[in-house]
Amino acid sequence: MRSDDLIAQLASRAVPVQPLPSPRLRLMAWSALALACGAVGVAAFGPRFNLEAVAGDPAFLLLGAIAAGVGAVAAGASLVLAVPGAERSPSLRVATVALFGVWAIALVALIVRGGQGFAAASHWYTCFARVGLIGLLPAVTLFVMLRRAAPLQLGWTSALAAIGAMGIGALAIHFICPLTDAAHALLGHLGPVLTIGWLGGWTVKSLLK
Amino acid sequence: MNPQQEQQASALMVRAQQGDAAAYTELLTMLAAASRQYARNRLGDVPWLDDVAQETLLTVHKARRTYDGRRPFAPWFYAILSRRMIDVLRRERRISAREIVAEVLPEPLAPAESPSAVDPDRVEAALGALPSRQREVVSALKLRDESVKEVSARLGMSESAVKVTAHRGYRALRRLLGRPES
Repeated sequence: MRSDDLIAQLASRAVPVQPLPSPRLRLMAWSALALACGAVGVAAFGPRFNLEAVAGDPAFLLLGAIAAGVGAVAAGASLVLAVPGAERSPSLRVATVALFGVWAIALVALIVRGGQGFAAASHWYTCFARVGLIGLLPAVTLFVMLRRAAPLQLGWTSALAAIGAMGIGALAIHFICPLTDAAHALLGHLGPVLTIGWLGGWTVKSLLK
Repeated sequence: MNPQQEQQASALMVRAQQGDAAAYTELLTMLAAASRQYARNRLGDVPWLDDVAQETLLTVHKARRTYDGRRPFAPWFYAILSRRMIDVLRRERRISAREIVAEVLPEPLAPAESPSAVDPDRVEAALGALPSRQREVVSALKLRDESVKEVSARLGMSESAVKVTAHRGYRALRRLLGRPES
């Protein structure tokens, strides 16, 4: 097909379109929905019985903040990546990886300090599944939002979207799971964010085209 | 794309987002030229500059709702263009790595005992039996490898007349050689 014919064909489809809101606004909308899903998850599975006891614990607060940060920063990065030319620097992607690294290192340090390795990591698969379940609706919503935009780096965009959604799941599970063992948290809380993020990067990217 | 062109493109895109087909045509024409120029500057005069331009236009069309009129147009457009150029470049490299151009394939040889093989003397005799104009056209095209254009210029015939004469000559040759009409 000649370029002139293509131009004529595209121009014939020049219907009015509503420009998308900025990635920041879309992130705020998504965050509201994702946090609501997290809250529903906490209500559905029940909050941990020792929530009041651990609420002031610095480790609890730090790990919760990291999970929330991973969710928000990764989702924001995916929304920015879905707008051509909007990513001025890779700082959001770097921040996601850095937060993820801090989370993993903190848990590994706690495992080493505990001296029991993975021996005490029980029932992690329950949390793994719950994280996936709570993060499912935020993931689908984010995927739809990305489809409406125009992601150019499909692998990065889909992986960050999956990590963002699972980060919200991990944040919710922080308020559900009463187990304080670091090995359990590594496998059951951080594990799905890593695994589903990686899988999302490979499987969902073709659907974003 | 200079600052003036960028401002113009931005204004055209905002109008295109409102459904203005004329503005959209003007914008896409401008972007196609810019895409070809950009790709030529980076890749040289490759035969698939149009592919880069067309892939870019398709993505611009799909992504047009993501353009924010308050933002500069060039980063938005060149992000799309550079990504599509990389995609086309990868595709072309893949094709050139896996495919063999037809020119280097050997000519298929007809087996010696093939029933389709004909005696060259019979072909020459059949050619001699054709009307002079048909003989001249068939000989020029098939024996001397002249092009239709060259034959039409030399014999003072239109190109379509050369083709029609050649076609009639081939049919007459088949008949003279006792071959079925294809």
